[in-house]
Amino acid sequence: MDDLADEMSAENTATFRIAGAMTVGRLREVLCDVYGWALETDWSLPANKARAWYVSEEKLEPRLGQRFEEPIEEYEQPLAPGRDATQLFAALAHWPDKTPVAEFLLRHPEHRHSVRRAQIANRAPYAEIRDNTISEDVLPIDMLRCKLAFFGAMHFDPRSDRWVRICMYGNAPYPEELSTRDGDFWVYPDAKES
Amino acid sequence: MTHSLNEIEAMSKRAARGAGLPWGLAEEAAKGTRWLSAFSFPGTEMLAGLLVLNDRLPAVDFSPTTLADHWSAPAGRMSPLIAGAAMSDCATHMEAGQVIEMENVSFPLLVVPFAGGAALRLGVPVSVSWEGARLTTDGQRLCVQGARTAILAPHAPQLSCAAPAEMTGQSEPVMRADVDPDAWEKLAGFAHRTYAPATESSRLLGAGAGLSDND
Repeated sequence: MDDLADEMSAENTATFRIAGAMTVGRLREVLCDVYGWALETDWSLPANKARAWYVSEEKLEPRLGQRFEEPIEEYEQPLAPGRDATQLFAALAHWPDKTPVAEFLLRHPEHRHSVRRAQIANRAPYAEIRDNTISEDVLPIDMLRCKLAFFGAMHFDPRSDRWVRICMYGNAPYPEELSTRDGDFWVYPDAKES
Repeated sequence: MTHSLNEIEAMSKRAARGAGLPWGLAEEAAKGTRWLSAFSFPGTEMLAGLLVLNDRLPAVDFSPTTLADHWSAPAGRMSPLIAGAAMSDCATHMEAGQVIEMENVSFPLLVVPFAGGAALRLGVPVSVSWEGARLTTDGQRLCVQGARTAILAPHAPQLSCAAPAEMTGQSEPVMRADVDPDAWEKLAGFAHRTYAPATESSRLLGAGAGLSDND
């Protein structure tokens, strides 16, 4: 298990760059493959886009709000990859298969983040959330748990379906104990230290 | 004052978005500013200058009209972020020996990080040159030739990008960067536009704990 830690970060410098020579036809295939579920979603239904992610002036962190009940849409963060990929797919509809993506992006910089995301997910399948992040019934608590677990969080204590209280460094050794305790096991207090 | 590269990237992305750039270009602006800062160039000052210059103006006005021959923008000055991103997208053109020529580029140093991306994609160093300055990178390291005033010029009448280029005398990136407080304040002002003002309803409806995280 120890070697898994080395695989938990990814160097994304190279994949961040868009492959502009990819053809529109190939991009369409990638979108169908990665965002098939989104292309079948009816985004005109309010229930499918009822939420919006935004950063509040007050807390300076991403929050999930009600698109149709709060004045937040103009502040929306690009955290609805399924909807955005569907808009990209529609914008590509009349472009010839052989055109390089670079030409499309020159005219449509508003889709640049979606092209990048599709190309990254095409290389790294686990890079994308394959569900509707702005649906009326989205519960971000599972995404929160997953992300917080990477930070080493423990004792998940949901306070609502929007936020979770956690404990960091529970059972961690004090500095004077570092040399005598096994650093691998403090997160699992029931496990026997070797 | 120094900032971590992550802080610089996050601030730059929000600032670029606040100045009206689409998210994908804001991401490019952020990576580029981070990259320049890692090589001890005033990336945040360059970005702040550009955002003030083109604040909330349509991106298409400062974009190359075509990706063939000489690149020029309809508004008479080219955004280094848009042109740089297009250059990186067209990296394979340079593989075939084509030199990408651009006219009237604002803050030309902001094009250089895109050469880094292009170099990583091509696997050979890429050079960016304009009057009195030539910067070459393989994506990991940077070779700088020219006087500082030329390198930090606010405008370049002509700029060319070519590969493969030769690397001589390289500098390595660092992990934190000095940031000019005025530039940081300008970026923070643009970034602030992306924050939704809190309302009573958002406090009640929004994600996350309220003002107090205590029960």
